[in-house]
Amino acid sequence: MGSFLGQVFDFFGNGDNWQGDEGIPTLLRQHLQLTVVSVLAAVVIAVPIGVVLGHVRRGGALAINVANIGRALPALALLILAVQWVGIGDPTGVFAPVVSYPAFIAMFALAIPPILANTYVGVAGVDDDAREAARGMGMNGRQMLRRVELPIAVPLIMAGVRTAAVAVIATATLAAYVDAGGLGRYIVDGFRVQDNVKVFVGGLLVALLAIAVELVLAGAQRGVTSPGLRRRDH
Amino acid sequence: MTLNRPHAAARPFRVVAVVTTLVLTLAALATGAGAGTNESLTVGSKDFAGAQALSQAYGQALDAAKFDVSFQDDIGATEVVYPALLDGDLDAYADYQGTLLTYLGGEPTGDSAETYKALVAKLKGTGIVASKPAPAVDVNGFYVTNATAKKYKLKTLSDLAEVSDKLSFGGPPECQDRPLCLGDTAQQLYGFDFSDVKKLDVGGPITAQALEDGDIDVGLLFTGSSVIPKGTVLLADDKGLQPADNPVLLVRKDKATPALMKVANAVSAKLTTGAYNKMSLAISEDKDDPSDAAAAFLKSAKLD
Amino acid sequence: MLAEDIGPKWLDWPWVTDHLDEIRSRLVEHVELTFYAVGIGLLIALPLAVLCIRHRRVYGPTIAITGVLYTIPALALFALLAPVFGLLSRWTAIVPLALYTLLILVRNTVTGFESVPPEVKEAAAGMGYSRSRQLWRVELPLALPTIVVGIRIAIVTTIGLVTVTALIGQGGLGSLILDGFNRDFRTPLTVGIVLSLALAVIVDVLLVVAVWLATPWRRANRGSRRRPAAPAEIDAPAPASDVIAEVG
Repeated sequence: MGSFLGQVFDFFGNGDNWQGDEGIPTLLRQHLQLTVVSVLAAVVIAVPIGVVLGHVRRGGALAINVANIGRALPALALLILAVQWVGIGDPTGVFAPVVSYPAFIAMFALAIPPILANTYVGVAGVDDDAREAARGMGMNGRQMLRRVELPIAVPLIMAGVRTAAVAVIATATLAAYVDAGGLGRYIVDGFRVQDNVKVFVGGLLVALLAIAVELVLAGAQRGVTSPGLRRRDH
Repeated sequence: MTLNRPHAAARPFRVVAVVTTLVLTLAALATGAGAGTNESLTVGSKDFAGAQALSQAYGQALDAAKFDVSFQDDIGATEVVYPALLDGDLDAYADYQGTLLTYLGGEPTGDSAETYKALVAKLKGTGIVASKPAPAVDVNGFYVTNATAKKYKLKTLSDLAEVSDKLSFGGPPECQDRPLCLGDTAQQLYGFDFSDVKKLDVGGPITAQALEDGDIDVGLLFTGSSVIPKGTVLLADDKGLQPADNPVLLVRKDKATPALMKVANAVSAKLTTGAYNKMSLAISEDKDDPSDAAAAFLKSAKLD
Repeated sequence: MLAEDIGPKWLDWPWVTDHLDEIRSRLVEHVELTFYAVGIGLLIALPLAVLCIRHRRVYGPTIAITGVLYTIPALALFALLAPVFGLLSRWTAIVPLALYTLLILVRNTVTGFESVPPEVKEAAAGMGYSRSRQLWRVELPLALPTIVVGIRIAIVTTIGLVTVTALIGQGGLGSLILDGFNRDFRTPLTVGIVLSLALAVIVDVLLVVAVWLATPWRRANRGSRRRPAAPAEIDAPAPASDVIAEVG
């Protein structure tokens, strides 16, 4: 056990592992980039839809069921389907930030359900009393949405984004199977040649990345939560 | 909140108790695969079409000879399957003698008999034995499109090495660690320096498609078992990087009875490159089951 | 979703009918792995949750630890445990799967018990119920819906994760999906995906029905003010009443 950890230390101490196509910085960047781009894209699509549905309080069953099915969709299958659809090619030009077409599509699809469901629930779940008060103050629909519903819904929306981000980070490890780079490279390669040190390093880095992102987003969530709504953390 | 109906309140408790007991019982049975008798065999296979065909062929022949065979398909590369054999998770599997010898730290040559001898020597004391090798050959092949070959005047791997920095390469994920792929031996002999190395699949449709689509310039496919896309050409291995990579069946010594080895050797004897190729393509191109493709081979070889 | 877009040529019926045996055995494997994993997860999570309820200070660290476990990518855990339990051993798959369920199970169980209104506990105490009787006969039934929401989420998530075990040579419906990938063969791919979704949906529905049957007093409360349900997401800072409501 001690020697295993020793080997892990050696891995980190080895300068070669910090440079080049398979160096830690490159893989970390690819992994993070894929996550950020997919989650952002999912936010851009899912939040407006969720807000509209939540505001009119229609399609709730749809939103919740999408969330459920999304949880059950095997990410591996999404990835493979995406490869069937768009192949494995290097995104170039304006699409380059996407890192890998099939990986992006799969992670995007993975990120949508929690964001959509939480946005809907966040907006639709705004207390009727609050809405009545808003109407009583003379606000129209759009004003109510902007000044009352959205601020109240924001914590839940951010929670959905957090859930999506952590899920994407963990699942993006599979993207190595379609040559999308990322920290999954260590895990997949390590497993294929039974190099457990590499697998461990890969897993460790992913977990650390997920925790770091979770903390950052938790802080962001606190930041955008209107002070009147802030609850004590348990 | 009505508390004066104790029966209704008790109901969920009973449901929980029943479910928990069931779960506990099931969990107690979770230790799955038990020990087999002497006659029972678990045959594993590596994770590409050619290897699957081999394991099915050997396994089914043994099954026909009254052994009690169960299969574990699609496990992984040699690095994963061979340790499983050593540990006893598997009793047998089919591998390629050159690849295995390289993995064990030996040096295969282009001569089948020599390579086999070296393999047997390496296996001494490990508790694993190998059947006689089959005549079939399946090696790593570096393929380019006709257009690429024309453009850079490529006929051999030496030609390729000279322009490799202008080209992109795609192959199995473990390629750079494999001496016979882009690892040590290949670099010593040829010195490839591709501009981009993509990690795709194991001689399968993804690599083939990427080659066809132009996503990669050079693709690593297997000469004997991959579906080779039209319009591509195999570059000649002029310096003899690829060894005699003939199929063998690896068996744990404690299961390797003379009767078993006799069946395995009989299969090896009939396994020509043509027959092997036919099985592999049936699996990867026609989407036949490995078991059906192997059965067809055994039938025509009169081993069933 | 995507499978429908791409069209019926993704399903070659003759192949399906020829391979019903294999499909059935993969499905059974998948179900077994899921239930063992969630079962063991429950065996660990329930006592752990009770501990957190009795000693409030343990809750925070427990959630933190199970949360960190959840961030470890499945593939890495499977790969690392393979040398420990043996590559083809079921434990290599089951142990990580069970660990992943802990976060949601512990969290929902604790929240469920904590949302039992104090008046109810007082009434039970007033009626002379002993502490353990109170726990089993009064609090548990009321906490059950929330606990079951956690179990449902755990099961559905596990069903998705079991497919990853195919990458280390284990089975389940993931083998069909992987086969489709390796051979560029869409039918097993479709079958694998459709069956995993169907499995998740069916198990989910069965659990909803089971809870509905086991909690008749909630049926009596139908028709109260309509409010959309909260999905009891892992990080949702939702008030207790939202968490009690069911999904979908």
